[in-house]
Amino acid sequence: MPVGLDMIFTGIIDACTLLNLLLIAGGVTLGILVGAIPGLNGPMAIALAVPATFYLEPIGAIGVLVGIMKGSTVGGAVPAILMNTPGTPDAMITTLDGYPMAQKGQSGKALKMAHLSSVTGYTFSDIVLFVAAAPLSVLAMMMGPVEQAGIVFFSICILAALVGDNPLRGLVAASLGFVLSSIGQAPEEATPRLAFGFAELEDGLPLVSVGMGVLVLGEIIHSISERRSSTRGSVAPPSEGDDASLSLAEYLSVKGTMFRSAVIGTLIGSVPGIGSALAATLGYSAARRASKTPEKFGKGTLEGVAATEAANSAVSGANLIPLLTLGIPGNVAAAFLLGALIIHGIIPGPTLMRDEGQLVFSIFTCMAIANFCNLIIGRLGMNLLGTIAKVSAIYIFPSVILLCIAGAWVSGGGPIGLVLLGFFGAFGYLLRILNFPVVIFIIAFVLGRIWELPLTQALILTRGDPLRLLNFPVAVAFILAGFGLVIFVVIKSMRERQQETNPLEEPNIEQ
Amino acid sequence: MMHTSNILSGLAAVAMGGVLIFWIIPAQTVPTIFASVPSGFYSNFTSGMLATSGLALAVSGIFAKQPKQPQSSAAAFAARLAVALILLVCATAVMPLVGFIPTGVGICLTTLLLMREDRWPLVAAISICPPVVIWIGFEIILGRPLP
Repeated sequence: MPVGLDMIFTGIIDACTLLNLLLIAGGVTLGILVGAIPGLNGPMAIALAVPATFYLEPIGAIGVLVGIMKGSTVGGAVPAILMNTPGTPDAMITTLDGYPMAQKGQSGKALKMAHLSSVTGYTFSDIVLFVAAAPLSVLAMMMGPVEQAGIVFFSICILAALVGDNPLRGLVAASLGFVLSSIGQAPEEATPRLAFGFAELEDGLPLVSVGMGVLVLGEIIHSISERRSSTRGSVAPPSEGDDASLSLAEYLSVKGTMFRSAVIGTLIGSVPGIGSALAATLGYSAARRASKTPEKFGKGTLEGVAATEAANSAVSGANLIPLLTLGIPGNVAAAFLLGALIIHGIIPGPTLMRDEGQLVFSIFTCMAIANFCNLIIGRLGMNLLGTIAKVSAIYIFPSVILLCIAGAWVSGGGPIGLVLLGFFGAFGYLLRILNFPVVIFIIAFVLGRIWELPLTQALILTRGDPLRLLNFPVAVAFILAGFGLVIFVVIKSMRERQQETNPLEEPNIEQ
Repeated sequence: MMHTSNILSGLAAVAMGGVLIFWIIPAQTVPTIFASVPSGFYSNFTSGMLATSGLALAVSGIFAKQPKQPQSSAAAFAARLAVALILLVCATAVMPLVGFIPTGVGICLTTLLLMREDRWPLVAAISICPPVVIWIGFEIILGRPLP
């Protein structure tokens, strides 16, 4: 698989048009704004932006989505630092040191540290992606359909085991996603399947209606029913003088912490399903263990903010490693990127680098540009974001609902798209209150359309005889590892629950 | 004490998988065979996954303990779900007939009232402005017709 310099340069030039630059900058700005408003998050913004990308060229479409994905993490730190309310779940750990710093009058310093460490984390993981993607694609191309089907199964097991509190609930959610992905024409026979007589469903359930319904409407209904809307943290006082700025010496003093967290975030991001919240937690605890002054953690230290933000940001670039090399989305944002690529006729997977190498380097360039935009726009807009973060989501929800409806309508869904949007909004709410992981459902729904072909080919190759699977040891290893992981996590969580329930049975003296 | 929620959710998944495999998929799939693979293979396979994982969830619920966490009453839960379902499906079904702006105003108003917003000038502004602005944005600026 030759990756020629001409391919790289053409890919870079394709991405560097004025329109693409504006789209990426717009995506980053939107992501930062959405991330800064508690109650809204990056995946919601990506779901809302997907219909708009139908009218764009593939590179511009991916540029917008990548921009939103990267911007939302930077924005999420703003309310975490100023109001002790994380704008996105990734920023939960940022509150531990960010808010105490803000209370000490160092909000400006904390915001700048969060911003710069976030950009540093992004840049590191992007470099790893750029370097690792091609060799990993070569390895992935050595696999046949049986191995590919095994890897998808293994990925879903990882997702189920690590997202949510019960892997079996994760598997049920994934199975629901796979079942719904089977609606529409079968890829080989081209005969309608589970379409219930609706011609509109013969191309499958529209990603926009399902994604926006489950991810956005479901979350809004859940927030309304839980009365979760307004920002409740008290706003920290503004900082002045030296406390409002971050010197180069201060930035360089935490370079080791940022590097360690970026490595942790990149490693975690390259495994499908493990979210940036876990990366932030691990990055923070690793920084605390390695610090000469661990007692300062939790009381407002730059190291704590840098460790968290570098780790959670490094996840996003690395999340594209399984997407671009295996066609497996690592998180919801990557799932929507996958959906957008499929809509534009591009199927990510092992052959993407060979068949669409130029496009892959355009995507890499978009990511680098998005980092630069993050640096500039985040820097310029940090003061404004403090004001935006105070806006309660209650004033945003009505507009978001209407944008979902308009998006479902104009993306070709028409009346049936609207009904599906409403149905999947209620379905998303149901999944949330029954504690089923929504993330796995969405990823399985998108992944299911890709899984069908290797699974069918695997069935043909093995002639339906499970014993013939033994001729494919790599696939067997992945399948067994998937089963083993789920069984291990189920038994471990059941034991932990039994141990946890015993102390609770003791009477509470204070009450 | 058994984990009732896991058992019920698991049994529901088993039932759903069973209904799909025995009734819905045979009725809604054109029976063809491509290279020895029947056309309903993938749907049946994923439905089988649903039923199997549901069964595992239900069985694990028998041996697991119910977590001690505050849970809202079944009646309140059912009422919330019913209201959310009815409002959503009604709004999305009515919109093509009534139009985007009137339904949009209704959706915004209902959302704000459900969030217990009682500053009426604000309610009026947020109910009217977003539908009009979004309609102008899609219809006039982007040239994409809305209902």
